[in-house]
Amino acid sequence: MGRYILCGKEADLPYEVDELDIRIYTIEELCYYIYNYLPLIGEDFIDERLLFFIRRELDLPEIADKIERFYGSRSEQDATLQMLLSDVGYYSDPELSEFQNRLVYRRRRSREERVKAKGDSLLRLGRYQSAVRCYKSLHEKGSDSRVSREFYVSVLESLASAYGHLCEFDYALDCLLGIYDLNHSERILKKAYDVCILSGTELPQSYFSRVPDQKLQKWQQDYWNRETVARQNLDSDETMQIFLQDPGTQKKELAEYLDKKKEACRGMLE
Amino acid sequence: MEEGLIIGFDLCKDFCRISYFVSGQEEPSDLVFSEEDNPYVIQNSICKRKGEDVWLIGQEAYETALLGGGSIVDKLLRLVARQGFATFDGQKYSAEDLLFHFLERTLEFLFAEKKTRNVLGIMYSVQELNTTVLDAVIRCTKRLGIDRRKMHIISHTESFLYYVLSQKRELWSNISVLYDLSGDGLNYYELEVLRGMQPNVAKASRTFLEEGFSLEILDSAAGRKMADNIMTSCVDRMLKKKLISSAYLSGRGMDSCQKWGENFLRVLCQRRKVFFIENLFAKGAVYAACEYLRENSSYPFSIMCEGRIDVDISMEITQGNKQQTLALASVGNNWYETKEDFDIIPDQETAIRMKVKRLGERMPIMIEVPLDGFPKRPQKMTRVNVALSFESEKMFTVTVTDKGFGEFFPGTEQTVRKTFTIGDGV
Repeated sequence: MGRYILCGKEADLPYEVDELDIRIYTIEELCYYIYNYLPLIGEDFIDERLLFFIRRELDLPEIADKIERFYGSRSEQDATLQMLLSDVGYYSDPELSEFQNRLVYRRRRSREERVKAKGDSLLRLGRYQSAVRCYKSLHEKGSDSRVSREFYVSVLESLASAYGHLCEFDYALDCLLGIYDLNHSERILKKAYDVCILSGTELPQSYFSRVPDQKLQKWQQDYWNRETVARQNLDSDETMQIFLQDPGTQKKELAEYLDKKKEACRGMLE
Repeated sequence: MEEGLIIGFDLCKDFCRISYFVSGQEEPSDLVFSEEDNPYVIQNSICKRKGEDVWLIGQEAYETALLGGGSIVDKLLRLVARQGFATFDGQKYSAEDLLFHFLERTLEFLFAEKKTRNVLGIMYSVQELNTTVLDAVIRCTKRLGIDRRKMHIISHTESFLYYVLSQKRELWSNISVLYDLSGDGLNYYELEVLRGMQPNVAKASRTFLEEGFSLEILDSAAGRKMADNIMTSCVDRMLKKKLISSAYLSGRGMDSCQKWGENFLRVLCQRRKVFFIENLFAKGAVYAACEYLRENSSYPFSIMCEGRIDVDISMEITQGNKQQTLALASVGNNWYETKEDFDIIPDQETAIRMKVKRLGERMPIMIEVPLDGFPKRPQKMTRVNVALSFESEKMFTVTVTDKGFGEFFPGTEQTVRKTFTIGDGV
């Protein structure tokens, strides 16, 4: 059976989520963000900024006070988030149970795994700079005994992927070759080959001299096939769609697109 | 109560009257505009003095226009209803602008007399609840610097109801009636308190009587005789079998009824208390304004009359974790003032559904506004604004606007509007 959720006030000054480059205006949107982007929620999520937003901007002092009391006495962020979602009533009981399970699963993971999960989420969302920052914070712990070699490899591989999306092919190649040094995986070497072809970089002989020519030819053919498919898909690419608009819309959307890219670049430099 | 004015403004098509109440008074007073024929009435006419930014109203406006000092617009409310324009000194003014100057000048009489501009409440009483006119009146009053929450509008019928219910109980224990004779014709009002309901219902109605006559016939002896006959037969026919506690007379035609209505008054006064009340609608409006200012009602009735609705409209909603009924309109609400505007998120619903229950009917009827035209999004990812407003006692509109879901799913501001007529399957 359906229902109607009565909404609260819309904020004049939104709550900004840097990771998503999005602004939140209502308590329902806040719940949606917590529920769907859990890996992005850091340990310091409940802070003065959030409480001010809920109390003043959303005009929900009771909820803000409750969070303050609850979190202040127990410092359990997960339980506080669960309480917030439950009190707002945006999610149904089955959805809240599912969220509870995800919180439990998240709690069982190490801090490093949670940072990796956050990086993966950012990578999926196209927030490559933020993803790089997450992975790099783990990469720097490479020699840490608490981090397994497999985990370190998976972080490097994701970091390479993020660099690849940013067209930072030298860094991407360094990551992949670093992995290869650790596990001598042919799959990784093939990825490194793809990066070299894509960026026009000469193949590092110390890694590729031992690969038979026949295999290199197969990898090259494979790369071309994928490039053909990628070119065909460009027609439906969101960015390419901008150029199919009328001149007025095209100019506006192109400006927005470039602004986003500029912002992303500034994010990288910070 | 804070020191200030509580104003009852009887705004008729061709003239207006003002009554007011200030702290310390027991009953409302009538504002005197001039020492002329009827000092309590001012014509709805406005004149702009040639070459000057000076606005004149009422008698002064006519005199200035006659002497060639400016042009005049009379029957101002009719012009407002038509959303017309008038030109003064080569400059075009909207009817609403003229109404603003008219209201400003009219209220200035009161402010000057009472030496205060502090308005605690203002209640307009109008003959016809025409949305165009009412909206213009509200906008103009706001332009005068009066807070929207301090101003309200009721019908003449409701003014009559408030006036009578503010008198001694013995005067409304049975039926109360009013004959209002003015340039607009003869109107009959009736008020009855229906006991046995919880709360008791005060029900008032207005009937326009076809027998009404032009006030000009009172200028001749034959005309006065005819008027007396008409009114006598009206009373005889309408009140014969009714238990009347009080009868009231008002309007420009009635202020001289002792001169032309000998038989009429004799029949009317038989075993009945009869009153001629100057400014009855304006006074009733003052009582109504006082009622709006009180935290707790001093009228333990549910009110039913012209301008009030006879349906309950509600919606089942979830707030927090609780299932609740959201009352959008209730029996007895003033239709013009009944406006609801709120945001909801439909969860597994494809339409906005509301419950409509008419007074006296057992089962509510469900009405719905489909959301088919809105963009398809995942469940709970569409916030909609629902606005409910009335066009009359019998007609209301539900407007639903797509607001999306913040920046996750931007809204399109697409709108679905559906009008419902009460009684027509609703």
